[in-house]
Amino acid sequence: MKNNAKAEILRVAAGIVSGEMEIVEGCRLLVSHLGDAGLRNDPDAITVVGFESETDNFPVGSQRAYWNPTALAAKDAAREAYVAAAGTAVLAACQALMAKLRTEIR
Amino acid sequence: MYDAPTHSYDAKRRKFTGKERAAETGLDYFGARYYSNGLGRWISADWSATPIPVPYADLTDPQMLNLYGYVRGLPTTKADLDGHGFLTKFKNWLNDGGWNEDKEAQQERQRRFHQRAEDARKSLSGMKNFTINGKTPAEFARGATDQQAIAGLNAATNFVFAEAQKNFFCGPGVSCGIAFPIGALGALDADAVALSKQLASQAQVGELEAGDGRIIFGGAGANKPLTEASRLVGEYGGRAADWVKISSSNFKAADGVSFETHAYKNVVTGQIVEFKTKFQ
Repeated sequence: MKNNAKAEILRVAAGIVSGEMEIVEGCRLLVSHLGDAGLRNDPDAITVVGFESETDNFPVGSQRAYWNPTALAAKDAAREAYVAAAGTAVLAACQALMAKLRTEIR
Repeated sequence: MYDAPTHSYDAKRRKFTGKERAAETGLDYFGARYYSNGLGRWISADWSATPIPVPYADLTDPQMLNLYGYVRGLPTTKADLDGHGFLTKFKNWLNDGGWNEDKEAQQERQRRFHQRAEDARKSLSGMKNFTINGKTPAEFARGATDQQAIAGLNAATNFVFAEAQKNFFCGPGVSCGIAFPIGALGALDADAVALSKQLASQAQVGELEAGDGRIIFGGAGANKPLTEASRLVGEYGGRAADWVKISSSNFKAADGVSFETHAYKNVVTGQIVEFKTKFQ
């Protein structure tokens, strides 16, 4: 289970870094695996947890269908502005996590 | 004559889920029931499931909302015995056949009371490792009247929950947890899990208020800004760089649900606001 969680974190983090996965949605996925991977106290993981906590009011995925288009546009604009300001720290944390996990999973 | 149930507990048979008793962080929260402006939430559940803003008012009659109105300004011909328009309601009750309804209601109350006693007997039968008036809970349930069964279950539940609270553990670097005597709750194990979550949540808030939370985002670093730093400044004061996001330790309940508490903290003043539970 621990290795499965680590492999999933590696996959998602790589997706965020490459831009294939949207960063807010990706961080929600990452946070859900940190406990099983035993990474809850890892400083880079904590950056991801903090970012996810800050962005949990932004609608992602299927819930977007239930939003009023005007309100959704406003939320998306706020999200883009925030990702532009805080995304660099998260990308660095994802890269650091990937480096650690690649070594461990090998 | 009915004797109130008393309990004895065999310490040797108490089997907790382990862990030493750690710093008693948050114990002051047990039993507390208050609303905190800082938290922006009730600390314990409201006992009214459906809030009714003006419960006795007929909202179609604007006079009912007049706080200075008494019996519509006719004190010589009308009276209000309880402040809720008692006489009017009593008259309506008689006109609606209140006496007949009361007999049926009484029978229904008796049926419900008996059913509640049956449920209490069933719950007591599943409890073990302590005694009620010198009997096992199951023995007590078998010989109890309806009233005794209900009182016995209430007393036993309070006793077991109190025992569990003594074994509460939480602190810096130690996940919040609560240990129930194994098997003591029997059929109430689901309640025990729910209670453990409630207590852990309260302890997490206590942990943050005691200054034991860790910073997870924000602060002076330019690359980890808070989404709502300017709103926090506007609402609570300070500068944007003074505010950080903090997190409590994590709690994992027996049913696998895991959560921690997050909040915003002003590192200059120590003010902590806007707590929220984060499930993971």
